[in-house]
Amino acid sequence: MLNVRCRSVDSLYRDHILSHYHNPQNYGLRDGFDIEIKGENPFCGDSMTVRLKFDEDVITGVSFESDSCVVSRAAASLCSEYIKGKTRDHVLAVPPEKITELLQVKPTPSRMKCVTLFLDTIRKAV
Amino acid sequence: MFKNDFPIFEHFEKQGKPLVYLDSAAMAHSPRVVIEAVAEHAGRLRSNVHRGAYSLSEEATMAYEDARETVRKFLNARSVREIIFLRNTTEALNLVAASFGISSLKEGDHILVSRAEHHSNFLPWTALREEKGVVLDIVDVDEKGEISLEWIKHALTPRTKLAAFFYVSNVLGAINPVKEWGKLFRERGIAFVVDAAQAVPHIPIDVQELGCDFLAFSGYKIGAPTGIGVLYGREELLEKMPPVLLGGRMIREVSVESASWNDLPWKFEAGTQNIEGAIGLAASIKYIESIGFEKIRKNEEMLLERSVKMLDNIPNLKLFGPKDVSRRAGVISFLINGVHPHDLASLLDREGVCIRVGHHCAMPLHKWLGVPATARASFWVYNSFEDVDALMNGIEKAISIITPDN
Repeated sequence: MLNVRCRSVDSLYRDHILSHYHNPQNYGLRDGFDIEIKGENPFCGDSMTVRLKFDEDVITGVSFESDSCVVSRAAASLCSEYIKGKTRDHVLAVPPEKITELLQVKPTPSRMKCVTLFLDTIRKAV
Repeated sequence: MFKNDFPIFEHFEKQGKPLVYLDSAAMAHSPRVVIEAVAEHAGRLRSNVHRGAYSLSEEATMAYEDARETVRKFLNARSVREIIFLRNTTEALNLVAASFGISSLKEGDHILVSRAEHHSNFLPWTALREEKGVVLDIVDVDEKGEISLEWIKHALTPRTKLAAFFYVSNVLGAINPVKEWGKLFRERGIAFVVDAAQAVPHIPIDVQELGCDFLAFSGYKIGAPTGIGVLYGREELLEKMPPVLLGGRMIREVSVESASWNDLPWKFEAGTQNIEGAIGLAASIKYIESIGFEKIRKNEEMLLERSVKMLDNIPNLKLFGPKDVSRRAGVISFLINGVHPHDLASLLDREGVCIRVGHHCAMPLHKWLGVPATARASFWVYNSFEDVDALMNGIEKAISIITPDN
């Protein structure tokens, strides 16, 4: 049990995820947006602001900023790229497994709220 | 220091990954004597208490009430009638609010608390604000987490009827001068409630010296089983307080029309209690007494001294609470610029080091500190310098992984 957890934690902090943390996609709130949503995970202190631009039903622009952990920001970076060009309905139906696939690693249960923070935030308004 | 007394460490050593446990403030490990005492009770003395007409039940009752007497002596309460077993500190504080608060406080009365309280010593009082129109006054801590007597005096009003404070802060580690305050509150007729959850593992408690009217603590923070805690209350107050949980054992007589209540302390112990928990709690108290608080405190101060010094030397790391370790007990909270506490905890976990991160059930305090979360390491009798060094090595590794350019 201890060894499985160690492997998972090792993977969580691999280059792929750290690079998305240090150079996240779509980072920095941009003007010309339709909605701005704030999200929080008070359990661990993560917070995030996301701005979305729509063309009718389709997301055409995304920008975000976060005060958050590596996992949360990296997942947000990957998700922000993923949702571009997708419809509202598609975004509402994205399962947590999709984010795990984008991260290329399955986080431990205690990190799942960090992983889903971006999507949970935008789902409030989409 | 006393690692060998705790089976969990041997378990992890055998797996080849020694446990560096720095989260005793959340849960302290059980020494072998406690585990064995509970197992022995379950295997040889298990029986319901107080009503049984056979010798097994009488012996179980004696063991349960002996445990109560052990707690009484531990706190230097005047009588076992002042020792109530319940689930934990949270339940104890809620009982005081629901019973004493509801029956003795009126609309417009004031309650004084600090901004640094654990939610369990905050929310029961805010509930009285909603339910009874009581006014909640909040006194701030200074940046070390300490509250001066002057600030307390300044915050009191002619209608202050109750004051509820932590003895030791679960975030800042600051030790409040509870004895000083006890004197002041007694003079002014203010009921004094002490949250001793973080104090009991580190400091000897004497409720006569402290001058408090109520004091609450949890067994699992001193290695007892989970699900057992204690409310100490002065007999004169408990006598007048109505019970909150009603049912078996806490009655004298029941008819369809009415009921009368049992004597103290059983008036407040409805239904079958955590008997094994009480047995385990007594065993954990005897274990602590076998070491002695002087040794416990001396070891802890050395660990705190080393930790404060080493953490203070890490650039971009902010320490919270008193730097003077004689004014601190048990916990050290800190924040590293650029390394989120949650990431720090995950990376330390990889090294077998356990710390706690988040708001530690003290969100008003964290808001006041201006941070969403902190990392917290805490010590107890089984920790050593090696544990402190493992923490420091782990922190440095985490910093190099997350902020490699620094």
